[in-house]
Amino acid sequence: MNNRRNFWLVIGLAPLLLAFCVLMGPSGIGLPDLQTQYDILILRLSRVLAGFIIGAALSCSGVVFQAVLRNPLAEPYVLGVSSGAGLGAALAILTGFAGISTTALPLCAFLMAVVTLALVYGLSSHGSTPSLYGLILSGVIVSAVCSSLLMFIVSVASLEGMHNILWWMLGNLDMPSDPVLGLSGLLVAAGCTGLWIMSRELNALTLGHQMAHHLGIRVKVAILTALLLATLLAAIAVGVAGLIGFVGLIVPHIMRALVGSDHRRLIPAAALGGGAFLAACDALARTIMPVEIPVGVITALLGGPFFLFLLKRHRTPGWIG
Amino acid sequence: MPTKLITALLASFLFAGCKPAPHPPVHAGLPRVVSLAPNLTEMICAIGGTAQLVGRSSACNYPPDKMSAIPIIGDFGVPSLERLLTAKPDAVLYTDLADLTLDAKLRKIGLNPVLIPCARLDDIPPAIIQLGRHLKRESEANTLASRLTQQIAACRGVPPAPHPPRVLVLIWNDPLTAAGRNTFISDLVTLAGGKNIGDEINRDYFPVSGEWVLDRNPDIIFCFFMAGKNSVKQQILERRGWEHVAAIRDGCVYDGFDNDLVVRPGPRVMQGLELIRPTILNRKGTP
Repeated sequence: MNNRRNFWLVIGLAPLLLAFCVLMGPSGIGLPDLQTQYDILILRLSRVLAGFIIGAALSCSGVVFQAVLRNPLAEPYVLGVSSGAGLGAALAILTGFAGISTTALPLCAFLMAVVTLALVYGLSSHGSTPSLYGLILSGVIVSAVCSSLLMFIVSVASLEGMHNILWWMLGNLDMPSDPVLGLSGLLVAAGCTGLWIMSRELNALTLGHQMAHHLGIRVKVAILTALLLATLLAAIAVGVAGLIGFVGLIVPHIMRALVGSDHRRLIPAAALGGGAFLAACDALARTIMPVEIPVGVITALLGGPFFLFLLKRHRTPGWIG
Repeated sequence: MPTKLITALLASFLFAGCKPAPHPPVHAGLPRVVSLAPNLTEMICAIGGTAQLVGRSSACNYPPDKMSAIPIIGDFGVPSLERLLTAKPDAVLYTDLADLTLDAKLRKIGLNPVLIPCARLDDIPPAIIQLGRHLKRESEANTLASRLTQQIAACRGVPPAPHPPRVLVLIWNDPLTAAGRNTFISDLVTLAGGKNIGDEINRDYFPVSGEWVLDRNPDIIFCFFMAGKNSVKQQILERRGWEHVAAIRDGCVYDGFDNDLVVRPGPRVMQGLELIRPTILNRKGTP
C-alpha cells in the first residue's frame, strides 16, 4: 500500500536529511574539518539535535490536538501554552532573573506554560472532569489574558528589554546548555512514546466520542491524557526554543497525507518527519543569508507550498477533503 | 511523488551556498577581535585597529571603504555562533545582545565576550580606552579618548543660556517615540545647550502622545529617523492639532540629519554635536 511505502520512506529519509543538515552552516557547506573545526561540528550537531527534538515535539503535539479536537485547524498552542510561556519569558527578562544562568529563561517559560495549563484545567473542571469545549474556551480566555499581560510588559519595558523579549518570541534553536538539551530530549522522547502507546485510543477518538465510547474507550480519560501529554510537549518546545510556528500545524497534515491517519504509523512519522523538517528549515535559516533568518519564516515558506502540492495531488489528505 | 519533492528539497540546499568569507591579514601578535556594534567598529577603526577586526555586524557601515574587507558575523547584537567560531577572535566586543543568555553561551563554546558599556556620552572615552586595552593599542586609544574628553569638557564649560530652548527628539514616527532621560541623545542635546523635554520621563525611549507634546510645547523638534523617501518633517508639520506648538509655529522642525552621527555613541560624536548645536544656539527659549 502507498501509505506503508511512504511511512518507510519518511523513516528512511529523516536520518538522511538530518545528516545533510550537519553539512550546512554559515561558515561553509561541507563537513567541518575535524582537526581545526571540531567545535563547529559540535555546535552544528547540537543545533540539529535541538531542531529535531523541538520539531518532533511540536508535530506530535499537533497530530494529537487535531485528532482529539477533531479540527484541522487545531495546533499545539490552542490551550494557551504559548502565551503563558511568553509571559514567563518576559517576566524573567524584565526582572533580570534570565541573566542569572542560561537555564533560567527556558525554565521560567516552561514553568509558566505548565501554570497556564493548570489554570486552564482548573477553570474548566468545576471539581469534575472538564468538558472538551470547556477546556478550549478557558484555553482561549487564559491565552488572551496572558497575551495582554505580555503586551503590557513589552510596552513598559526599556528598549533593550523589549529587544530581548521580541528576540525570544521569534524562536531560536541555539540551545542554552547541554543539560537542557539532554533533558528536553528525554522528556520529548517519553511524551512521544506515551502518545504512540495511545494510538488505539486516538484512532477511536477521531471517529467521534460516541463511537469511541462504543469501542470500549474511556473517552474523557483518554482525551485528557492525550491533551495533557501533547500540551506538555508543546510547553517543552516553547520553553527551550521560543515560539516556532507552523510546524505543529502543517507537519501533521503533511504526514497524514503521506502515511494515512492511523496513529500507530502517524505518530512515529510525525516525530521523525517533523524533527527532520525543522532541522532542515533551521539549516537553511542559518545558511542562506549572512544574517540568520527566524526559522519560523522558513518553516512557513517551505511547508506551505509542499502542503498545497499534497492537497492538490491527493484531494483527500486526511481531514481536508 | 513525494520522493521527487524530497529530492527537490534536498536540491534547494545546494542553492544555499555561502563561501566562507576570506579573512583579512592580521598583524602577528596583535589580538583579533569581532565587533557586534557599529559604534565599537568606528572606535576600533579610529584607533587604527581595522586590521585586527576579523568580523563585524551587518549594521557596521563606517568607515565605508574599510567595511567590505571585514566579514559579517551577524546582525547588530545577533551574531552567528558558527561564524564566530570560524573567525576565532580573541575577544567578541558588544554593547547590547538580543539574546540575554548569549554571553554565557559564548563563554561555553570557548569565546571571550566583552561588554563595552556605551549608552551615554560619558561612556565613550572609557569605552575607547577599554578597546585600546583589548586591541593592545593603548597609546592611540588614550590620545583619542583624552581629546574627546577635552572637547566634551570645553562644551560643558560654556555657561548655559538663561532659558535654554526646549527640545523634543523623535527617533521614530510610528509610534511617535522620543528620547528620554538616561540616553546618549539627551546628553547630546544638553551639551549643545538645549533642554531635552523627554528628560522628565525616567525611561530610555518612550512612546509619546500628541497631547503630551502640545502640553510641553517644545521650541525645537529634531527628527532622527527616516521614513522612506518622504520628508519626515512634512509628517510632523501635518500632525493634527500641532499647529500651535512653538517649534512648528516658528519653523523649527529639523530632519535630514546623518543619523549615524547623532544617534551613534562613537568617536564622531563631536561631529554629531555640531549638526545640532547651531540650531539650538540660534533659538531663543521662552521662559
